[in-house]
Amino acid sequence: MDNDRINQIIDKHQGKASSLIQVLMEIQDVNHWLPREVLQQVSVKLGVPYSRVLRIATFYKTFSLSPFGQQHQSHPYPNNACHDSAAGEKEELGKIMAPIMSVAELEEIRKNILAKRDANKPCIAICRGANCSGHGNDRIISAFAEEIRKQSLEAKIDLRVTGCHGFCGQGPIVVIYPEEICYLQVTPEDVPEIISQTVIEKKVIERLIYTDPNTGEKMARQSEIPFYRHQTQFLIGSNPKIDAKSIDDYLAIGGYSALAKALFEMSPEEVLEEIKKANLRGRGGGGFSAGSKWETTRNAPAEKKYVIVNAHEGEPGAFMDRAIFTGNPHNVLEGLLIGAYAIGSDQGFIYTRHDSPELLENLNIALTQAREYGLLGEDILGSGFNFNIEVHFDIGIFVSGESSALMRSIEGKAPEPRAKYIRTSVSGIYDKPSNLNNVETWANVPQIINNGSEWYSSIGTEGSKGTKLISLSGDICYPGVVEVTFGTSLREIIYDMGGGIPKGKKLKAVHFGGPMGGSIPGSLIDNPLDFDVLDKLGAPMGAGALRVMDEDTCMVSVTRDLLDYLSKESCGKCVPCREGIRQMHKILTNITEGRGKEGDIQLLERITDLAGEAALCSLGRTAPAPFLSALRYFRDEFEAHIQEKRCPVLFCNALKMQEL
Amino acid sequence: MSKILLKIDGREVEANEGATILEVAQNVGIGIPTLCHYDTLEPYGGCRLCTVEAEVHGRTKLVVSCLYPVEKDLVVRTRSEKIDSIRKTILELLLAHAPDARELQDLAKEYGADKDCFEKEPSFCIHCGLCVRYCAEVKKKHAIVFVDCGTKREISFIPEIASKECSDCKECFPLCPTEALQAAFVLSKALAFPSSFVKTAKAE
Amino acid sequence: MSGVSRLQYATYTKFIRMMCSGRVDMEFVFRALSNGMDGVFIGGCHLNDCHYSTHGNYHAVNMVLLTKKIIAHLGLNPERLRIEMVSAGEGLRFAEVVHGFGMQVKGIGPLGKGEGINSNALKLKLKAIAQLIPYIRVVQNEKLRVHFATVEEYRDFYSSEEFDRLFGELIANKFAVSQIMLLLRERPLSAGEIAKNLNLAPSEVTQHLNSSVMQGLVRYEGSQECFALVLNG
Repeated sequence: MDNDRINQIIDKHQGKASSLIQVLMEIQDVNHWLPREVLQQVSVKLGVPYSRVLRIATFYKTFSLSPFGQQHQSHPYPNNACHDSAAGEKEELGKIMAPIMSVAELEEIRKNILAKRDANKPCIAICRGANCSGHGNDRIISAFAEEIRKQSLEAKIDLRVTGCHGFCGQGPIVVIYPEEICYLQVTPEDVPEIISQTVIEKKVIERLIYTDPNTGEKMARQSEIPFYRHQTQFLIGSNPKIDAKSIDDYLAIGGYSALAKALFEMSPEEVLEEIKKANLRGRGGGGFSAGSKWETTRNAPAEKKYVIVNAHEGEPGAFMDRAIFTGNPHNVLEGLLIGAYAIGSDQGFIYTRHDSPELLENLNIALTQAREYGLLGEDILGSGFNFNIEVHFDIGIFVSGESSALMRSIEGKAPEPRAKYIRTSVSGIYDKPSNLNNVETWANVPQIINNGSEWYSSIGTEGSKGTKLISLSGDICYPGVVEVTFGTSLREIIYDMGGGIPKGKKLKAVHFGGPMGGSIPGSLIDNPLDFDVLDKLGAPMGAGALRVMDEDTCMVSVTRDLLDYLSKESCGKCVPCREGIRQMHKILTNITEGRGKEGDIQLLERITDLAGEAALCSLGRTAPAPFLSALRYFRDEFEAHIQEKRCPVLFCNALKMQEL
Repeated sequence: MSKILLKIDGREVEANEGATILEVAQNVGIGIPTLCHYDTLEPYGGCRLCTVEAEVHGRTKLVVSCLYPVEKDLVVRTRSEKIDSIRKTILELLLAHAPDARELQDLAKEYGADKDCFEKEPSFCIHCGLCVRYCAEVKKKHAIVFVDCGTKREISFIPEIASKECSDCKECFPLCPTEALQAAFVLSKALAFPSSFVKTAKAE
Repeated sequence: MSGVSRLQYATYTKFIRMMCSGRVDMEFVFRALSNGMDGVFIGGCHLNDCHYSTHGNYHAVNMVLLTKKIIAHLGLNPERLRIEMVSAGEGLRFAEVVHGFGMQVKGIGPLGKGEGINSNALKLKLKAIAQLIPYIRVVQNEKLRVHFATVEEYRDFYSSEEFDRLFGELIANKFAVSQIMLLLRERPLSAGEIAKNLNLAPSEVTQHLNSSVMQGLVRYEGSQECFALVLNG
């Protein structure tokens, strides 16, 4: 145990009670477990009751109180990713760049960047999204770098490592510009050929491009591939075009022009009006009007106001926030700045996960660069508007994605949702008005300011405007992240973009919203993607995680698994949620193991009513949702399990044995 | 402080601004069942037994009366089919843990809760939090805390503090509706308090 | 006539008179066993026959059946504890029953040796259960408060799945932790050493250690790579 390191960590945060989680994370990271004596030390030095330190240390599964506990590696994160203060950073980097103090200066810099770039110069864009990284595309990146160096082509070819392109099932992905040739499932061995054939000789390598599984037709250009063709990529479309670690890339595609427009051509009230008129609805699951929330926060009687980016993305099956935040962090930052200006806030918080080193690195670099360029800190762009950002982490529990729980966590307490009846936009972090929005919601803001609310509200449906990122997973040929306009039919998403169900199986159901959502049967997939339509069908969209289920899925088992997940992710404070989930889980387990009895469904429905109406927070209130939708559309499966002790798709093992 | 007029179960009631529905109801003698509420502690909102129907501007919602602040023209109903059903289910869920807890018996009778509705659960703590909160808010000793989360959440004495403070205090003991607190204390004492080591050594 | 009887090898029987079989506490049984007795016999009045209408004999039946389960869990033969409903007037039957019990215990053999448990392990087990008794009393009062009319119904409950589940979580788990705590009072130990000493699977020991760490009873001593008590004597 490295006592010196641990002491260093604790001393750095001396007296700061809200740093409790950070400190424990750093110690867990360095030491891989939390010794009891250290917990006592933390309690004393940070001024936090020992009981609270213990509460936090036992609450999160990421923390181990002994080396034999559950080991979750919390990835090493850059030291300066938290509690950034404007002054210190600038000095350390010793860059020549001075903060930009006017719009004119910003445009000048942008012009200079573009002047140095040649649109026709060959550029190799390699996707380093989560999935592609998982396939070891670091070796591909170094292979390209090596090959270019070997052939002394540095001046002739640009190499760009980008964020997620979305076509995750077919990664690693490499796109060659300016022709936009898209290569799939690339290996390091393909690299020399790609350079010699495609980049230099402009020839397409047939075996690496997309082949339509039905027609056999080959498509070389990224925009021709059905997966991409059917999308409307306002947000994720920027990912292949920029290196997330380069603010200049973001400026080159027009970044921060919306911020300039907001700060200098619009008043905060006008910005607020635009967002309201655009009818931007929250993308994190609530679907609540962002403009209304901003207004409530703005009008709350308090000097200090906070804005928060919820980058928790705890919903299982959702991975699109990560895709755009990692791939284009400045987009989100710009949105946050504009929102802060409209609301009247000078302090922002980013609440994110600890387990994505790429995201943390890119975020840290983006914050540093933004500060350097004068886009963060004091007197941004010379407008008089000040804004600073703190980054906070969650270490792995679903409930901390809930807004009041999240704010507790930022304060350094256990993420228990607040029982009090007061909106967080009126009283949130440290009881100050706090406006929380999801990553994707913030990311939508710059384009609304740039193109206007009229343009934005012309896209989508009556109740749902703009585009939505959907993460496709489950029994689908092309899992990944897609971006579609609201109103797109689910059929188009699943079949035209997702490529349909593998092995020619039939579609049984699609599930939205993870453990708080619902499933709808395949017969209803001609319905449009829309907040209200899906709500009425019993499958609230949630954050947009779409899980596809084929004919061999047992709906009873799926429901049971979702409750299993929730039983560990609930905070456990209120009876309807904790006990309701406990009993529902038990009864469903009995049903899947052949011990279902007459009256079980009625009992489950009673618990469902209780949780839905009396639970403390939305986790408890929506916990029964998957069961309700499964019962609504697949009641016969439940009855078969209970009355006939039979699993219609032969999935439940205990029942399979009984059949024999 | 300004006065607010509201209706509870058909009765016109006057209340101070900032008061909760429960406070007001108790003042005028209208009974609402509670489990995790205690006058000297901050309201908790954990047991949800005090749920009532609150109607304002024509919209009715279900809220816990121990936390919901009164407002002008609020119409409160403390009993209804829905409320009774909610309370019955809560009681049945808790009876699976503590079938013989004295505070649950009368309520169970009143709401027709069946103690055998659910399979018996081993743990008999009902997570009212009274012990944890009392020690934190009133005694300020923080000798007992909740550990873990979700369905695995449980109370735990902190031996380093409890072995020094609890034997002379035990003020939280009468608050526990189920004796789970006693069990936890007795266990912690037997296994972890240094004073117990001497006793067992003597017994040999 | 009712009481606790003690029998030793060579059919030594000690009689202890009580006013009611319900007065016999679990602690007496284990104290007897710790003091070298090989079996304990309890004679109580017939159920529903209590002349004082306090019906303490129900309590005795409850206690015996639970204690038998515990004795079995310790690895000892549960037949070493017996309760028989014998009225004051059934003198002859009483003598027969006690004699029969003595023979049975003789057949089982000396405590521990008869079941193949060495004396140190036995001492540890008995000590571990003794320190848990205040806790078990509360548990029994709260969770095992059953009331039946016949002994058979009691027996059915105590052999049911429901009881097994409650027993496992509430008593068996705590018993393992109790033993671990006693071992650690001597000196810090590694998980492997504990597993060997208690003859338990390492995975089981790890589970108990983890929950003990969570509860603040035990901590991991990094420098010595073993587990130790959080509070020492």
